[in-house]
Amino acid sequence: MSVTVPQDTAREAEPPPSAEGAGSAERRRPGFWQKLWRDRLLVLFVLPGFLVLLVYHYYPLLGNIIAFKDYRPYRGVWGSDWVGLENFEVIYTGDPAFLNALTNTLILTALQAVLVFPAPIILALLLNSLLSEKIKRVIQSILYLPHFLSWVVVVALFQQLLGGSGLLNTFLRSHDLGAVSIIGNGELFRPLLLSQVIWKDTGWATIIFLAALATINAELYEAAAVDGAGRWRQMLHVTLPGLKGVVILLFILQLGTSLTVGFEQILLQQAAVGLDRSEVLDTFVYNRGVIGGHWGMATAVGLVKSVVGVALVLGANKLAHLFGEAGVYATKES
Amino acid sequence: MPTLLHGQAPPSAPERLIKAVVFTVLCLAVLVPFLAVFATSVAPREQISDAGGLVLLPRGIDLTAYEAIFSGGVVTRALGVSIFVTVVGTGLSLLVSCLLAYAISRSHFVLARPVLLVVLIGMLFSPGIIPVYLVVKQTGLLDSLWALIIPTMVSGFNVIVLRSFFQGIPEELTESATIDGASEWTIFSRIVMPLSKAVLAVIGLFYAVGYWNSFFSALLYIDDAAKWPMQLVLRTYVVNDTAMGQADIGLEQMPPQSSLQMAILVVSMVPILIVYPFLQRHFAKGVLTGAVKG
Amino acid sequence: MSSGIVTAIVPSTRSERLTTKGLDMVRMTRRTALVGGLAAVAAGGSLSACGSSSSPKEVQQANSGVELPTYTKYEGVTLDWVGDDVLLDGFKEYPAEPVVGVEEPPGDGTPISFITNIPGAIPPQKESNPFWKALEEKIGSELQIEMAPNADYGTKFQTKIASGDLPDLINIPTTTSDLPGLLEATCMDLTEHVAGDAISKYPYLANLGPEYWKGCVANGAIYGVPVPRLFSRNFSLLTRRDLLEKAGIDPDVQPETWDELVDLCTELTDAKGGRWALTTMPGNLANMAAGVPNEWQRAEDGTFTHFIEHENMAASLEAQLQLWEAGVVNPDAYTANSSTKKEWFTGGNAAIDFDSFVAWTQYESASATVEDFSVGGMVAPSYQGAEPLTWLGGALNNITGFNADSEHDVETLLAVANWFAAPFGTAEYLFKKYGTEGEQYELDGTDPIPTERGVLETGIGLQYISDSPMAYYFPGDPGVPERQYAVQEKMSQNLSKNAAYGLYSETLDQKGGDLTSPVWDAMGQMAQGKRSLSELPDVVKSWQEAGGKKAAEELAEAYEASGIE
Repeated sequence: MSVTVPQDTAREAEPPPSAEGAGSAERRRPGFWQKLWRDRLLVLFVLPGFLVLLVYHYYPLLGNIIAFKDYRPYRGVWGSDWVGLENFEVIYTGDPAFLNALTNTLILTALQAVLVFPAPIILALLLNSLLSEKIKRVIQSILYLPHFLSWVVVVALFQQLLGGSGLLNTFLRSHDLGAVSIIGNGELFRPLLLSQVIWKDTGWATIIFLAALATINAELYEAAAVDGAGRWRQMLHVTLPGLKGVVILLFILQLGTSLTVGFEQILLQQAAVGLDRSEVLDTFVYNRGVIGGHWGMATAVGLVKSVVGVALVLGANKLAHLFGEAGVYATKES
Repeated sequence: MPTLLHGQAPPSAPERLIKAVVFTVLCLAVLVPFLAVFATSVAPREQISDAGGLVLLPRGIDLTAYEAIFSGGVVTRALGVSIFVTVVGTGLSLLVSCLLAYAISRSHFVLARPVLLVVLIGMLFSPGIIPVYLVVKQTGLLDSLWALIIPTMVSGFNVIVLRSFFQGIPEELTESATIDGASEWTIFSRIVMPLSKAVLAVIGLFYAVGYWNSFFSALLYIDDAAKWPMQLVLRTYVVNDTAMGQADIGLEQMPPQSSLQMAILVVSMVPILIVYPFLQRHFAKGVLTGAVKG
Repeated sequence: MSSGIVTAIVPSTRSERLTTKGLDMVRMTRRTALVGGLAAVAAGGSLSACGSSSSPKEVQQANSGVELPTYTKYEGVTLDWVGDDVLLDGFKEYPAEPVVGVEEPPGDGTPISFITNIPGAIPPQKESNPFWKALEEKIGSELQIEMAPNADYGTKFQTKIASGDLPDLINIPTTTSDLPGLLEATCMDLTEHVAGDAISKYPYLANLGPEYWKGCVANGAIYGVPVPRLFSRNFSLLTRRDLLEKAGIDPDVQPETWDELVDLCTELTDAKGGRWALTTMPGNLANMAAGVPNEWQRAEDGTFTHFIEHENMAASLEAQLQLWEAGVVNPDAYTANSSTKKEWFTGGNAAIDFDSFVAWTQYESASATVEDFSVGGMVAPSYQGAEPLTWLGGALNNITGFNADSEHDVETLLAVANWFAAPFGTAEYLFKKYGTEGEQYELDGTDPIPTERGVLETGIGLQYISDSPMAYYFPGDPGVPERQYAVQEKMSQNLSKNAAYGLYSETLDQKGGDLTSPVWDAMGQMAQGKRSLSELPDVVKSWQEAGGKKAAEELAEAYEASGIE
C-alpha cells in the first residue's frame, strides 16, 4: 500500500536514515521502517483495538472453512468431511427458489437504498431547520424510540393495527365500510416492509446525521449569510456539502451489508404472503438449512454475500473517487 | 446547530404550519404504538383478553407483569450485570476505538491505509459462532463477564466513522500543534478529543446500546445463569413462537403474554431513556465554533 | 430415529404441522416389546471421525436384535382412568397418600451436571432456591444445571457439542441433525443396562413403553433415556365450552362431518364484531378428516409414501379452503404469532383453537380464575365420507444422553433418571413437580396448588432429565381429566402412526428444509385460495425430485435392514 503524500513539511526535514534504512535510494525521503519508528506511538494506539479484532474476529474467520465441509459439530471442524463446492451448489445450479430469493433481495436492497436511506437525512435536515433547540430535542427523543423494539413486537404491532382482525379493519367493519387487506397482501408486501423499516429505524439513524450537522462550522453559515444567502441557499451551499462526506461514507459502508435485508422481520411475515414474494437470501438459507443445524450452506452463502459486499464497497469507493469525493479511504486533501 | 437567523427572515407561517403538521404526524405515529406498549404492560388481564392483545388506554393499573419480572430477585441482579457490562464495555470500547481511529486518521502514518482496509474488509465478513466460541474458550474467558465485553469491544463500523470525523477536524489545528512540538498523544487528547464530542456521544451511544441489548454472547459463553445480563433473563419470559403444545411452559400464574412482553420492553428501555438526554446535547449543538481561533 | 424433518422456531401457522413433523412412530402393535432392530444407518452414517467405513448393510445387521426395555406398567398408584403404554392415565384428584417408590437417594454424593432449556422464566439460582437445595438432598448429589431460554437452546446446544464441554446429563432435542452420529459419538451406550429385563432395576423407567425407547436407539444400541410425549401431543380442536353454551350450542358437541364443522364455526363467527371461530387454519385436522395418514406409511410391498403424495391430500386442501372461504378463520391466522392466538382464545375473540392436550391443560390453569372458562375437545370429523384418523403425536420431547466422558457410573445416572421418571401419584413426583408443602405449594384437599414462589423455584427444567408420560389431571376440577379422557377414547379408535419413526434417512436429515419449505409454502397459499389446487401434483412432483423419492427409498432400506417383521 502506498503511503499518501504527507502534508507536514516539518516531518520531511528529518535527517536521512542511517544503517537501518530499508530502501537503497532513500537519502532524502525516510523509508518505511523509519516512518514507522517515527510514528511508534501511533502503532501503540493501534495495538489494543487491532489485537482484539485479530483474536476475536479475524482468527475465527478461518472457521469459515466449514463452507467447504460437511460440518457436523460433534466431529469438529477438522473431523468433518471435505466436500469442496457442494455447499455452494445452490448458487450456481440455478435453483429457481434461490434465484427468486436473490431477486427479491436485490430488489429490496435497491428500494432501501433509494427510499429508506435518504429518510433519516431528510428528517435530520427538517429537524435542523427548527428554531427551538428544545422542541428539536424532544421530537428527536420521541422519534428514535422504535429502534428499541424487537421485530417480533413491531410485526405484532403492525398486525394488531393493520391486520385483518386489527384495529383499523375492526373499525371499518363495524361501520360497514368493508375491510382493507394490508397485512398478508402480496402486492403490498414490499411497501409494508419498507414502511416498517422506516418507522422503526429512521429516528435512530438521524442521530449520526445530527452529529454530522453539529460539526459543520457555524462560521460557514455566518459567512454565507454575509454573502446574502437565504435559508435555502445556506442549506444548499453549507449544510448539504457539510453532510456530503458522512452520507457517502455511510452509504458505502451500508453497501457492504446490503444483501442482508431484514431477516427476522421477513421471516415473521412469510407465511401470509408466500415465499415467492417474501423469500430473501437469509430466509432462504434459514428455511433450507440452518434450522437443522446445517452450517455448511449457511456459511457458504454468507461467504458469497461477504465477497459481494466487499466488491460493492470497493467499487463504490472507487466511484466516489471519480466524483472527487473522499469515499471511505482516500485521505482528504485539504 | 446554529440558528438560521443569520440575517434572514424567519420561516414563513405556512412553512411553520407544514412543519408542525409533519412533525405532529410523525410523533403520533411513534407515540401511539408506544402508548399501546406501555398501556398493555399495566392493563388488567381481562381488558387485554377482550382486546385481543393490545390495549390503548388501560382501564386500571395492574402491575402483575412487573411484579412477575422482578420477583425472585433474578432480574434485579441481572440488571446489575448489565449495568456493569455496559458501563465498562462502553468505556473500553470508546477508548480503544478512538485510539485506533485516530491513528489511522493520521495521513502520514504508514500503517494508516493498510489497517483501515483490514478493518473495513474484515467488517464485511463474519466469523461463525462456533469458531468464536472456541477462541473465547482458549483465551480463558468462558463463564466470565469479560466474555461479554472483550470479544465485541471493537466495531469496525464505529472505528471507520470515528476516523472520518477525526479527519474532518481542520488540519490547521493539528498542524500548528505538531509544529509546536506536540506529541501524537497531546494532539489526540488535547485537540482531537475535545473537538469530537458530537461523534463521541453518538458512537458511545451506539456501543452502549449494543452492550445493553446484547444477550447472544451471554447465551453462548456464560453457563452460570446467576451471571446473565438482563436481556437474556428477560428472554426467558417470552414464550417462543411455537405452538403451545410444543413448549412445556408452566403458565399457571403468569400474567398474560402481551402484558409481560410489553413490561419487558419497558424495563429494557427505561435506562436508555434516562441516559439519552445527557448524550443528546452533545450532538445537538455546534462544537467547532470558535475552535480555529483557539 | 427422528425422521429428521424440520422443527424449529418458525411462525406459528407452521408449528402445528411441525409438531407432527416430530411424529416418530413405527407401525407396530403396541404390546410388542421386542423390536427386531432399528435405526439403520444410511450412507452418511458416522461410525468414525473420518466418515463411514462400514457399509450400511453391515451396520444394519448389527442393529437386528436390539432388545428394547420390557414394559412394566407401574402399579403402585390407583388410577381413575387407566391407560397403557400409549394411552395416558387419568386422575380425578391427587392421591392423599403419595407412595414413596424409591427408598435410597440415587445420587453418589458427587455433583451431577445437566444442560437443558428451561420451561419458562428463569428461576432463582441455587443459592437463592430452597427447592433446588431440598432436591439435592433428596437425590443425594449436588445438581448443577446449565440453563438456556427455550428459543435459544438449539444454538447453545450445538455450540456445546462443538466445543466438547458437555455435562453429565444432556438434553438432546430429537430434531438435532445427524442424531445417530451425535448419539454414538457423545453418549454412553446403555443397552446392556436397560435392554429387556435389565430395566427391572429401574421400575420407573420400565414404566415407559417401547414406543418411547424406540427413539433412543441408534446404530444398534440404546443411547439415552426418553422424555415422553406421544399421546399428550395429539392435536384436537380445543373449544371454549362456555362460549358455545352462550351461543346456544351443546358445549360438548362433536361434529360428524366437515360441513357440520363449518356450520358450527359459522355460528361462532361474527366478523363485524371482530370474532372469528378459529384462531388458526387447522391443516392437520383437515388431513385427519380427509383420511390422510400420518407422515410416512409403509405399503405391503415395502414402499414408503409420504402423506403429501397421498390420494386424499387434495381433499384435505379443499377442506381447508372451504374453511377459509367460509370466513371462519381469523384473517390474521397466518401472520399472528402464537401468543397472540392464545390470547384470542383466552379472550373469547375465537372460540376454537387447534392444539394438544398439554395446551388444553395450560389453558385451563392459566384461566382458572376466570368465571365459566372451560375447554373441551373435538376430534376430526369426516370430510366427504372419508374415514377420519387421529395422528399420534411425537413420541419424545427429547432424549437425555449420558455423557460418555462422565465420571459418574452409568448405574448412578440411570438411578437418577429413574428417580425423575417417577409417575403421577408418587411422593417423588409430588416433590419434583411441586416441591415441599407449605413452601412451594399448599394443599387444597389433596390437590397441590403451587404458590407464587413455588412456580418460580420449581421451574429448573427437571422434566427434561426424564419424566413419566403425562397424566390427565387438574387440581380442583375432575371435569377436565374426564373430558380429556373421553377425547382420548375417541382418538384411540383410529390412531395413525408414522411408519418412519425409528428409521433414519440421510436425505430427510440433511435436506429436510429443502424438501418441506416449498411444500408448506404452496399448501399455505392454496388453503388461502391464493394458489390453485390444480398445482398440487406439480408441487408433489418437485418434492419427489428434490429428494422425496430418495428419502422414501432410504426409509424402505432402513426398514428392511432393521429386521422388523
